[in-house]
Amino acid sequence: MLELRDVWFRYSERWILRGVTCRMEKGINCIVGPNGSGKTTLLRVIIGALRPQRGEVVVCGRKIRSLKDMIGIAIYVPSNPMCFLVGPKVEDEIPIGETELASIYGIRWPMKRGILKLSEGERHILAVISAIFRKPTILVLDEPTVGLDQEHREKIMRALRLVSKQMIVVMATNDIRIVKKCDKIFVLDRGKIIAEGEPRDVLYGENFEYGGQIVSLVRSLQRVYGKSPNMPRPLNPKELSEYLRRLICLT
Amino acid sequence: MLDIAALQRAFIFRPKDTPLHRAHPTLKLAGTALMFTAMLLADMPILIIILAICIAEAQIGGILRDVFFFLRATARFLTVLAILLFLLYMPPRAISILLRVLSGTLMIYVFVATTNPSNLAQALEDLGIPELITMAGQLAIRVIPLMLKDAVDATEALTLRGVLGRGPLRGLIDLLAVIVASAEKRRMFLEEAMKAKFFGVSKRTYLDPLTITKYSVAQLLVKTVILVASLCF
Repeated sequence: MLELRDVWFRYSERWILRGVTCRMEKGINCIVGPNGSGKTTLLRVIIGALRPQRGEVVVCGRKIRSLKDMIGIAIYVPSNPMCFLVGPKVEDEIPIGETELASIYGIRWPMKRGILKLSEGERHILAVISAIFRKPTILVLDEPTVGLDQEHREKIMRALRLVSKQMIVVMATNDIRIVKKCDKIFVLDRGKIIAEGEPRDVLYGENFEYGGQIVSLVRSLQRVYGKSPNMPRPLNPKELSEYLRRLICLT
Repeated sequence: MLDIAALQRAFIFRPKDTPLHRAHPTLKLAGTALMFTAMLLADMPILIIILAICIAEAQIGGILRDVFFFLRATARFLTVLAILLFLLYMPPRAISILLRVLSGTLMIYVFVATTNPSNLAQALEDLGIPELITMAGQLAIRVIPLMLKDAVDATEALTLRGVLGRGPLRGLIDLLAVIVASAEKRRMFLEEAMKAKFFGVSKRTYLDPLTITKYSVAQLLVKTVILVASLCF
């Protein structure tokens, strides 16, 4: 289990993370939020690359103090998959045959193909599958589907679904189409988690789903209800659903 | 050897309204060149003055914190260098070489961190340097933080993969290969963007006129005095 306890982090004067407390278990955990809300910083705190000024990150009861503490536990795939892929060829990253690759992941690549000759979407998939093959306890993915089409997105989600029972997958994304397929989502806004729960609870109804801007909607709700822009505590799924229902009625 | 994350933070150009940021790029470049020459020729007391000027300029430009990040990023490199120098030379000579390296890198860093690349390109074009060269230099400066970001990401990802971190040199070739491949990808994007913007077809128009401020002249005078002093003493 991965636990963040009152994590505060800042690069200079401005706090990027402000008291993030959450617990992530096996399955696909998704961190969503607008640009600049602190998603990537949170991922880098989780992997131990950044040390929070306050609070702590605990993995299976063990405090994480640096990147070295996470070696053998976590694997991190940055938003640019080129920063993760080392092997010059596909076979260097995925140690299985073409037939197995096609049968498990539905992907048909010649294993001798060079990584630089793959398309951007293929490189994203390769990075995710390669990370899965290392069997980490925690798999951390930063924007794994950015700029991908439906087919590539689904291939990535299919690969993650296959292993979601065995590892904690933590993924930062803004892609609402994959958010709804996750096991649990955490809505991050201005460094705080303002809502968390299962997608069907947090993403209420069709209007919300296609709006795609969870946080802006929550902010609208706060304006409607006259609350301060930063909620004092995370809303539970029931409260959030109620807010959304009433907002949709109002608008 | 280098703290790439700190280096990335140090190399991000942040526009500020300080005398150093407003100074004419050509005069600033000339001043830096003069002080660099002085640094090569000077003895210990003047070297200390040069280092003090660099720190004072960083304070004027509001980048003292970035200088701290820059020093933190290069701390290990400087420490290794210092040990080697003290092993190879007598202490006075080792200290003087170390001061030269420190002040030289600092003055170049202060120049890069406080000069808008577009203004520098504009100033150089006014001096008759072809646009192709000025633009290439400008792009190179702008690409440094992006390259460093990739390097930070790659270092973290490869450390967790077990490729890096088990020794000072192990996995370095893999890291370099990843950074080069990533840089190549960025180059291709940049090339396409430049072509799409018809780069080089006609002369570029700059919106902000460059002015010679009092500070530009003053810093040039001070640095000229330093050069003369280093030649005389």
